[in-house]
Amino acid sequence: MMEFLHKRHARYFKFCMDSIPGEYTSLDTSRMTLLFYAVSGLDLLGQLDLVQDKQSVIEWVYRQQITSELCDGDLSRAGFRGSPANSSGAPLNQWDCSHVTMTYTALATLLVLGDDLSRVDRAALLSGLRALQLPGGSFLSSLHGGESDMRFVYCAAAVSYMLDDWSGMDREKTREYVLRSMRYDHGISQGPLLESHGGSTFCAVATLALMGELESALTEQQRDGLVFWCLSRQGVGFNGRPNKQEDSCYTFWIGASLRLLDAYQFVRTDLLREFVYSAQDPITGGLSKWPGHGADPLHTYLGISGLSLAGQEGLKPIHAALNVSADAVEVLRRAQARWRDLPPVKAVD
Amino acid sequence: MLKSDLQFTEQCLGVNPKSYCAWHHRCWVMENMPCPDWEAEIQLCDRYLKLDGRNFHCWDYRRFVVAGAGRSAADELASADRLIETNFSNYSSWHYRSHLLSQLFPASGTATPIREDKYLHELELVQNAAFTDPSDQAPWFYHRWLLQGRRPAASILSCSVLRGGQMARVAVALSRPARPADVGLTLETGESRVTEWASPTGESSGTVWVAAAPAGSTPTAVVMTSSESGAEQRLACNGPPPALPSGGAFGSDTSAAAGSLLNQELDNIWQLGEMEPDNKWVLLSSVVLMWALDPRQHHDKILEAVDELMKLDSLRRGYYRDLRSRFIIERKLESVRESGLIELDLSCCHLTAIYHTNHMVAMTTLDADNNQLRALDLRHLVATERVTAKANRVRRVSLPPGELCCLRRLALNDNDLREVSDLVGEDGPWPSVEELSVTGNPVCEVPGYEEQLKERFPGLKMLNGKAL
Repeated sequence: MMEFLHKRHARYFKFCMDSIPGEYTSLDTSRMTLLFYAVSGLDLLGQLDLVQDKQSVIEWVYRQQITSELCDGDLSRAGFRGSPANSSGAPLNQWDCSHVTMTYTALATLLVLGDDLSRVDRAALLSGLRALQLPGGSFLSSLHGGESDMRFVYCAAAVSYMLDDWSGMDREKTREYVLRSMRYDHGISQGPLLESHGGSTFCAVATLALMGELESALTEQQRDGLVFWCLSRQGVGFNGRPNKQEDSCYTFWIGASLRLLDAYQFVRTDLLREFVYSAQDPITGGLSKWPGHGADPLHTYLGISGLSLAGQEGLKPIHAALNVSADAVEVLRRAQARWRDLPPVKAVD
Repeated sequence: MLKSDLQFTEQCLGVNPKSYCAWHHRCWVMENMPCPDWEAEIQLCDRYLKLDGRNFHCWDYRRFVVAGAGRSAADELASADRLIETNFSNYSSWHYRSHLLSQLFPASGTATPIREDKYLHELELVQNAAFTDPSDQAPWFYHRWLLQGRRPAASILSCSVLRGGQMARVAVALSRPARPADVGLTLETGESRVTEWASPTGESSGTVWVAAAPAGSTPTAVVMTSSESGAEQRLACNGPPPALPSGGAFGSDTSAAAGSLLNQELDNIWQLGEMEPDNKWVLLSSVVLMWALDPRQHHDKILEAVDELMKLDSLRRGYYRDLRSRFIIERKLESVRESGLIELDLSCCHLTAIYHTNHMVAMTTLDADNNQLRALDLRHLVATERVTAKANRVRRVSLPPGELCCLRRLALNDNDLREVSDLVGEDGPWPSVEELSVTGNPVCEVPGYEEQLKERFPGLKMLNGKAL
């Protein structure tokens, strides 16, 4: 397959927005991420016009927000839910709380749709963020408990960057957690002791980049080792770990890491394109993790945003650390400029 | 009920052994059980790792149950041995090994990543694995880790008094990034001690720092305390550079014992290289070793090997070009330092990138003409007065902040600067710059570019060879 099925992927994302197959029921609490992939995917493809009623999508996103009003004093649960699945109405029950990945994808989706974030309860959200950070620097996904690892550290950093306010996290502890997670091969793992992995490497590198500390945090030996580790992921496409199969999602995870490390020029984009094209599903549209596996929204989005890094014609350029289009970042800058004119917001403990 | 949850999670894992929540819930069950059967859990891990030795969820769970079972790291090392013997290619086993060894035999101030007496055994083990199947990258990454020496702690490289300005200012270059407060970086002026430092890159941790001596005082020396040894280092301003550590300006402190091991290792690698001339891992390991042992003695062989790597591992050709650039720059910096010169000539060296700008702070001139540089980051060169980088492919230039910049002449002819912002960004002005040349750049086609440049360089007396 030598061409990029641009229109077919747009139709795939539109389909994801209209109706998701039954197999995805288990992802109901993460529906916000599926929405993000579809909406931002359409944006990158220049086909946001396929979202007929942007305002109603924006309203749906805001309906998942747990604001200070709903919190009734305990702001630790503030932020965005993944869907109405665990929403309990007022007063909130103990299971109804935000999830940091849903908060990140909610804000990103709003920006892509051109919303100015004026209805985001920033103070509450930052308190909610603070409640998720562990003493070692890592972040939980939500107050329920559950795993804590680099994925949620990244989401917390992305949210802080977007809200232009770092009072929701202890930056020093975050930085230390990231550095402790660099392994002997200079790849970065989900947490100390775990094996280095392409996904967590992106999360770590992007976190440092968003904090403005990527250059100062790594020694030259570490940066060099990390670049080599990332470049070694390329065979034709990228894999996520040595001796593992190549997978289209690493087109973004590894590609963006290299872009942030100022080493993307070393990537063989011709081969990368060849691999990603082969992972396209010619019938349904969308991308699968590898040829013939079956498309899904995550791999479709990450394959496409990864191709954008490679300068693919017809795709909007992206912000490598936030994983949204440069247009969406323009919307963000305007929102941030507006906030700077307002009285300062601080996380309330 | 907890027992039935154990069964339940096992059923879930049977369907999806990579489910974060299933493993996490199992952890919770084990933590809450009154009499948990840790041994049974270790066996569960063994079963799942047999099915998929790379399942990191399972490895993580194994760490958890091993701790719960009270198994020692030494016992686990034996298990890791077994796992590696069964399958050298298991990258996850090598990773686990690196973690256990670092725990059991941490490095004791030597250049090796683990205690030196255990180092030989590890080198033999990984060599066995790597030489058995030289095309498998798993043992080679581990080998690379063993070979890479630890760099010494931060130390002062140079201490220069900057010309111009109303107050005397001093630029200090460190060998590794540090925060001034963490290493007690202090400027002594006879009457006072200054501990406020500015960074030309605007970061909280960095290699180059500038401080201003109070009006009327004369800077005499800079002092810092090593974060590792606690030893104090003092360097006189504008005095001779400090003595180099035993490994050289860029090397690691290899002990005689480790050195002889590594030399033996190099012989073994060369022998393997004769049998496997097309194996990039063998070649790369030989480069890492030669570079760590004695880059000057092995100078030509290193360059030959890197050139060969560009052909053998063409996917990473760009990386190797940069690697080559770093090697060349290190040798040039060493020879300049030895000869006491303050002008650095990097022209015509096939450089694709500039490294170690923190080692160039004391240079008054930098010549990087006729290379293949893509970018020029001069932010550390706060004391440099003349920079020329003609005939490269420079797309972006970064200068030190205007108030910290001593640059007088800047030549950037025949590069790839397309807009004025490629040279000045959002910053400036730079009052120190008197001569600037950008002929042969696409920016010269931009209407009004000369006016924009004059605005950012208000002290300009000559632009593109013409007096203003």
